[in-house]
Amino acid sequence: MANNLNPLAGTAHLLDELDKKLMVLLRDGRTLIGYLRCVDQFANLVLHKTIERIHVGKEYGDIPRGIFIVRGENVVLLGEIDKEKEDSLPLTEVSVDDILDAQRREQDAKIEQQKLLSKALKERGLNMLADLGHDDMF
Amino acid sequence: MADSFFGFDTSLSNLNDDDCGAEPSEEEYDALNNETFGHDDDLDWEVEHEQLAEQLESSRRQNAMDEADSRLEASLSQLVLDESDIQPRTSLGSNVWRHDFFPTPPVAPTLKNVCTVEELERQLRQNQPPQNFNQNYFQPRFPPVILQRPPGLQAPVSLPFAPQPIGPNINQMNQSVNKIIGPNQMTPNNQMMQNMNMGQNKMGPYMQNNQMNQFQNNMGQGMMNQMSQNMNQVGQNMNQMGPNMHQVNQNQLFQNQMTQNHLPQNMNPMGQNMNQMTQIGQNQLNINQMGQNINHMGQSVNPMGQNVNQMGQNMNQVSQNQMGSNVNQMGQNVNQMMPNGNFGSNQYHVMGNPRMIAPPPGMGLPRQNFNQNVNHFNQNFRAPNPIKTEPMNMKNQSNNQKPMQTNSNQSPKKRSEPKIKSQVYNNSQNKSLTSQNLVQIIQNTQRMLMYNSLHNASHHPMLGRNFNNQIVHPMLGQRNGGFNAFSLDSSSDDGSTASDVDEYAGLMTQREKQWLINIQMLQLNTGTPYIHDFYYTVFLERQANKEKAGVKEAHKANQQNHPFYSGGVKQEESHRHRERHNSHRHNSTSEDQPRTYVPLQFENSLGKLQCGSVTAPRKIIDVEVVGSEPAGSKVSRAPSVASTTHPSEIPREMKRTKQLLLDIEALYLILLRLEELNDPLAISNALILKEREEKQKLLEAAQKEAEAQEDESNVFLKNIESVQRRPKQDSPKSECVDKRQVVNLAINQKPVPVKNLLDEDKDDLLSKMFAGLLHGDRLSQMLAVRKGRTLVSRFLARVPVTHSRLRFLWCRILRALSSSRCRFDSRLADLADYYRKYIQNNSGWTAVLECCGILSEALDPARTPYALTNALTLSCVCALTEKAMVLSNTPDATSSERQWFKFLKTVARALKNTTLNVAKPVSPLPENKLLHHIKQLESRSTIEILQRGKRPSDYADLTKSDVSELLVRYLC
Repeated sequence: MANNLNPLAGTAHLLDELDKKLMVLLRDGRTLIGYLRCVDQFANLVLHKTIERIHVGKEYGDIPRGIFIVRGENVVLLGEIDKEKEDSLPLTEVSVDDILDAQRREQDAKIEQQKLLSKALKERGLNMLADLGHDDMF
Repeated sequence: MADSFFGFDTSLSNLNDDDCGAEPSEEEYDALNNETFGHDDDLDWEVEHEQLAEQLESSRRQNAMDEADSRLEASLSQLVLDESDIQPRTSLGSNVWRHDFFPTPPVAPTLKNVCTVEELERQLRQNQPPQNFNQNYFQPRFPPVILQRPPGLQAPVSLPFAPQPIGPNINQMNQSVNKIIGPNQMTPNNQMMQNMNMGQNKMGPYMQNNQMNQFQNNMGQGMMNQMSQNMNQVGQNMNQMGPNMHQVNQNQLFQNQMTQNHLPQNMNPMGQNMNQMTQIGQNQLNINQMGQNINHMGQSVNPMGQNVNQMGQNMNQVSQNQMGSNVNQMGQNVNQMMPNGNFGSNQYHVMGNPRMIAPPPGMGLPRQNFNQNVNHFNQNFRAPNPIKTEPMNMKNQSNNQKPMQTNSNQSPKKRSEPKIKSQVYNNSQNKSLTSQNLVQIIQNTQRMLMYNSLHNASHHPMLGRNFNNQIVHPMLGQRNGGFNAFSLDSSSDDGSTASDVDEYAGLMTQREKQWLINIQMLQLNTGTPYIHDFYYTVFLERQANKEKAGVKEAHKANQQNHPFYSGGVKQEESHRHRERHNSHRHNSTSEDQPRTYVPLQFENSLGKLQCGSVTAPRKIIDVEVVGSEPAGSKVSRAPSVASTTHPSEIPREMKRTKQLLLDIEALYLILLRLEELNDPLAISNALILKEREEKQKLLEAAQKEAEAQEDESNVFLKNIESVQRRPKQDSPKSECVDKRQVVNLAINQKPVPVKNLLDEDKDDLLSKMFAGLLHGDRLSQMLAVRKGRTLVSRFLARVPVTHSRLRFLWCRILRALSSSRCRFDSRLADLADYYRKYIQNNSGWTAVLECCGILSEALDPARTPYALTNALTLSCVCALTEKAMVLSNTPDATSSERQWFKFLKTVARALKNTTLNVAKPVSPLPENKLLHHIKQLESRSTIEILQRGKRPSDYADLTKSDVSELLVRYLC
């Protein structure tokens, strides 16, 4: 029925994702998982039963978030979650605190490495590419 | 509740309050009528009529009621005659409309604002006349409660059509109206009805077409008003016809007299009525519900019908109004009616036992009412007072009323008559008439209409959630488990039904989805999709072509052009559309062999090239073309090398490369334009665009004119304006673009207002292209970039072979061959075809020898003959040989031939000495021809050489046989 009414059938369309479990990657790097309930022409999303999932290495942790309204411009990508594959994740779930800890450690390590890198580059007379900031990543 | 409906003010309920609330008892009706119509005597004629009515009182059972009726009718007829007055009830006392017996919320007034014509039309378009109409038609049990309830508002009982996915709409109503018309045609012995139907037959379709259109236009309130008004008109017609007919009936002897005497006087009302009838065409409605009494009616009506005919004829003679023509129509319709009257075949028409007949759902008639309708059918013929009847007419009327009353007395439920009449008064905002049948019809029609309007209204976001309709508004946010829970999106059903039911699924209604889709479609709806939605349009076109060809050409092409294995796959004809193909999204990867990663490597580059990633997209800039000639160092070096050694050089190198790429892109703009000149799709779009532009210009001109006229006084200002405007319009912005500008188009020129394709001049474009390509050393650099090679290849496909500047272009291309940069690229080989055509098209040795000179330079034994690794080189040699074969067919040897043979030897030497992987020519030569040619050349050239006294040792390294052998090996 939807296909009959939808002249955009065959093209990627957010309406196809309605009521499906989606993973949404935000521009700030956060990963949300929830059921898409509503979209509009700006790709603003309403996510229901949302969790924020943090991945560190082979571990992940879920923070329950509830209903999420995402401004469309913040969405980097989104995709449906395969329910069958979801059951057999190669990752291990850990508690929220653990994963937050791990995340912090990871970030610290990253910053440390970044510092090292820029220092090394400076010694060779090069500057870090300033415009490779976080905002420009996507 | 009665005063508000979702915040809408309903106190000015100008619509039917009738359907709402419980049905009042008879006494209530009476009281109500007395209250209502007792005070309403402000018309002059009514006084007169009152006197008359008093005289007739003995023969009348319910004088007061009828008086009120007649008054109402009269006033109504006045109102109706004035077509502009659509809302007569404003003159009524509020007590009519604010009675306590119908304390229901008036729904329709709120609809007035929300329903638009578009909404209705859309609905009408979407909702085809439901196929299962007949199912509802025979709803077995139909609680009468529904009658009193506004169907849209919190009806606890599911309405008869509620289960239908598509609610009742006007189409349905049309059908029901048709059904109603049907029975009329089935009283064959009732001449009067036939006569009525004659008119109505014609009117039926007329009404459906025109009136319904009107309904569509006047939505909601207006629609209902109109409808009920029409119904009232019908009633009037019937009533006013009635007395006349009865007069005729009773005074048959005085028939002629009557027609002579009374007709002129009655003409006006009659004619009006008839006219109204033609407008309405629903008069027959009141006959529908008659049942058992139909026979009585028929008997009494039969003569009447005849009389009516006669009257009609008389009126024809009089022909004061349009009546005459109407009657003529009626006469014509007799013929039409007969085939149309499906006697007995109509489901609805079961004259014998009307109780078995279920009312059509659109009418919403409960069975009990059906019976009542039957009983009160005769009231149609009870004489109300026409507006301007003379006393004599009134007398006749009074006489007529007795038999009519007896007729109606035969019905067992006679008593309910006044009650229903009062219902009319209360229900129909237009002061309505006597006929109870009409009352019912009005009620039902209004209900139907309200249903329709409600249904339409439900399309409005602010309404309709409460309506038992799956199209509900989201803003109200309530999920009606019963109706709305079902998901309109089948895809969501698939996912959720398997494991667990998602109770929150379907929060977006179909309507909202459609809204989104419409937004997207709207964006695509430009009229010139080729220009504004190029990729999608071309994509669709390609897909259509692909379906025809049945080849996944796009995928292949895409694969070929993938940067990771651009070198590997043999190029095909489709290569020219690489850029576009890349925009394809396809999922046919699974069928092809798994991709293997072939890392790109450039000369002098260290290690593997990096690929850009999401996190480091900038790195892609590092991939830069490496110049082969370190001495020149003109082009570029790998920035990785440069950056480590001379950091300051990076910007210059980068800038140069970027500039090159930008130049290529600028040339692409011209090339695309050139290509579009032959694209029918593009041309058609350009036509549309041009049309629009012209319209816009006209509009602007008109505007300007108007402005000019406006401030004619301010001549000075006007002059200034015109001066300011002219150069803007006249300046040919992209006309005079010199070489330099073309090359630097992308950088120097900001987006220029795009010229219409139809205005483009092919020669102009070609010369621009040539200017860009032949500028400086650009071409060799461009050929070093894949994009540039594609550009040249696509351009050559568009250039006529006779173009004068083609020669320079080929010289440049062949010169660029010597550069090793091109060696890996098989794309250049595609140029061979064009080269062959070019050479074949040239006459004489000049072009051949020119090319030979350039090529022999490239094959100079002092250098590494990289050119041999490119298929284009030997393909060119082949093409040249072909040409030379033709040219050397002369009796005498020429110097040109000698040069040519020299060149062949150079080629052979290069082939012999090289260790490189020599690419085969695209179109090899036939071996015997080549051998013959070489022999021919040898036979002449040896003499020449000896004559010149050159030492044979110069050619010691290359024997004659070697030459022919090598050439045959590589060229054939």
